[in-house]
Amino acid sequence: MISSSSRKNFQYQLWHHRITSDFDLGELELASHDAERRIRICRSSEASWPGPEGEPLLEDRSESGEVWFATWKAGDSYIIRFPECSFRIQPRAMRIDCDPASGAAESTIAHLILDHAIPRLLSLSQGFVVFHASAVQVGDRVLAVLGQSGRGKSTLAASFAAQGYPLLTDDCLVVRWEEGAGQWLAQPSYQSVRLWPDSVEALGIPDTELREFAGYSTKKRTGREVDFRFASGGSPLAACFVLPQTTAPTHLGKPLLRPLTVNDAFVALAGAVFRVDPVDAEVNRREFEVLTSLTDSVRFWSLEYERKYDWLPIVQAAMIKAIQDPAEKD
Amino acid sequence: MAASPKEKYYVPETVLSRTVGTDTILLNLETSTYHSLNAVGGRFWSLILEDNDFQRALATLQAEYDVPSAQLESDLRELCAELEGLSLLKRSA
Repeated sequence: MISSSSRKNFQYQLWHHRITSDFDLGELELASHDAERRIRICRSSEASWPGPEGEPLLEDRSESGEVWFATWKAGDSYIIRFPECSFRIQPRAMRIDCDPASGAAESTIAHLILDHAIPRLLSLSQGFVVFHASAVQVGDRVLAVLGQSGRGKSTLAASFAAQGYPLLTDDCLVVRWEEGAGQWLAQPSYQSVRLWPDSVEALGIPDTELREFAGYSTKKRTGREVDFRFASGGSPLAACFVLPQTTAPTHLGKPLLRPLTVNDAFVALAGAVFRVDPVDAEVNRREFEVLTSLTDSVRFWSLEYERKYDWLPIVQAAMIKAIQDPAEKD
Repeated sequence: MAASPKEKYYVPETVLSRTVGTDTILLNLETSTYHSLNAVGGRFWSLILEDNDFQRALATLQAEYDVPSAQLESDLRELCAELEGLSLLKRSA
């Protein structure tokens, strides 16, 4: 007797890869053409994976100090454990194995795959560097906003998008070496923005155009439902605006933009990189070349502004004025 | 402080450096430690990369910068100690 089981297989495209997934990643564009690079996302049990070796390579802590996720080396792969899901990242095979915790919401799993596992796999791949940043396109230039979670990256990017500026990403900026262009180009992500409830209200987005983002967060997703424009191709990164490290009010009144020194720019950029293995010499070597190249070619400012939504148009205007001012790097 | 005429430093193979503007950025690949040097520090770094000889690098910098000799030597020794502490520079035995 032949027994059969069916498992649905989803085909998507993202960041110049064709993605074959056992999981529904509904935010992504369905695959419409073949791509040279492929990523396979499989459901499997952590019990079948090689065990983590030694101490964690990295631990990411919440503001309360609790470990949210940690990464370990495991043979030629990496294990990343979140409370809701464990991943095994295999950079050579370009494969991600995923073992969700019992009861984890589908939206949470999709979020962890899209916004953590795939970016970390790409961060290990030659020709890619991934930054924790939002980015929008102004004319033919890409502006990125760097800052830790909760500092306003997504809100600022969404406010640009609401004004008709194409959005590349709200949180995860992939920069890819484009052989034809002979330079590193910022790449559009999938068409989605994650916003806190007060940002949703300030941007006037109705409830009907929001979806759950992750079971553990009050943030909501929106994207194709609203009248935002999304970038369609890669463009050179022209400017980075670095938000303050603290959520406490640092500044009142008009936005304050200050050019960063080379050292401060490099430190901000290096601090925003998605990493899995901070002591992998080959990845560090590749990353160093990109970071020094971008530090040399991109203009950097620190950006402080009063965290009131009424100020967003003024903040946007100040950022656009800054990049339009002549400077040595233009 | 009297310096040994054979005082040599070298940059380990695991250390990368790139000049960006007037700064020089260093990375130790094994520890992921970054460090940046200003123009004078970067010039010292390039001299050590070329020749390894502390005294010759000091003499070159003395000729290039209008800084009191004792002050320059003291600053460079402090820099060497800092870079050694970060495993970005090593002193030859």
